[in-house]
Amino acid sequence: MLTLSKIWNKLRNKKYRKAFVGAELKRGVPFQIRAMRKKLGWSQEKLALASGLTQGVISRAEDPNYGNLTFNTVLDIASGFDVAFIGRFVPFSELAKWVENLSEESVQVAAFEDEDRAAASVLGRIEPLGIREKAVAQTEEFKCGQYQPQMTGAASELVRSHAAS
Amino acid sequence: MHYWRFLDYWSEGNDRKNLIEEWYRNEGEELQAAFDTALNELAGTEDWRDLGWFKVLTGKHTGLCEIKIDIPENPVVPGRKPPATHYRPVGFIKREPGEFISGEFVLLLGCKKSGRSYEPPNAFDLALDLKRKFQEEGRGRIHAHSF
Repeated sequence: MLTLSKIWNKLRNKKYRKAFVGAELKRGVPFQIRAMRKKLGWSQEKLALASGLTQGVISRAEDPNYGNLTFNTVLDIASGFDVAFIGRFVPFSELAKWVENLSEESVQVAAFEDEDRAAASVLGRIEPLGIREKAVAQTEEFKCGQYQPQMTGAASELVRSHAAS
Repeated sequence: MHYWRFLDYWSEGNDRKNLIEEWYRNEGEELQAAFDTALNELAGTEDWRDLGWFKVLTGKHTGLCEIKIDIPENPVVPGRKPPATHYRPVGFIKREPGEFISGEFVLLLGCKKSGRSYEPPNAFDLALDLKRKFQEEGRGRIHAHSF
């Protein structure tokens, strides 16, 4: 829909750039909340309960035209989904890539419990047995590049750092 | 993954026009960015049926759909929905009636809403007329959304 070259040409206009960042923030967060809730098969009431909010607040949080979503509400919803939310400054190239690939699927995020289960399946091979040799061997595997936990992103980093320590 | 594709309607004759593009160019960057973002989100949304900001019109303008885009005015008061300028791009789904899962959407024109009045005032009548001319008389053309 919005191709990288099309976005980039428009972003050359400073006023458009500022407006686009605002539109992506104000519309993008509601889009992701709705897409994640739908994927889980949750109603707005269920997300509200998990987040400690009311259904009305969730409804407004999913409305891209509301225009007054607060960080506190977003943090409560992040907690309801059991995922992280990071607000940070990024270069426009990162925004453009995010936008180009945007879809209900691309904005899905694993909950902590799912990530933890994946992490435990690897960490568990080292810790419960308490066999020092096994841990050393696994660490050696990691150093040799043979240790390949079946996970991605932050969980993978967690395992790597554990194995390396 | 994009589920939907957007098309622009072009009127026929010597004054061949892309009305949705004319509307877009005449508005400010705030609307342009919100419109681009909204179309991108719609393209990536498989099922539009329960989207609060996409509306299938009924009554006099049955057959048309509007995309609701509100641009909040500053200053924003915490905890309250701020006053906003309401924009309504109008078009129709190029499929069988009642199908809202994936497909093609034809953009006809855009307008601004204030209370119960619209600018231009006959926007929805004109949109319905363009749709009828295209579908029943084969007048005008549609091309991939290009701006």
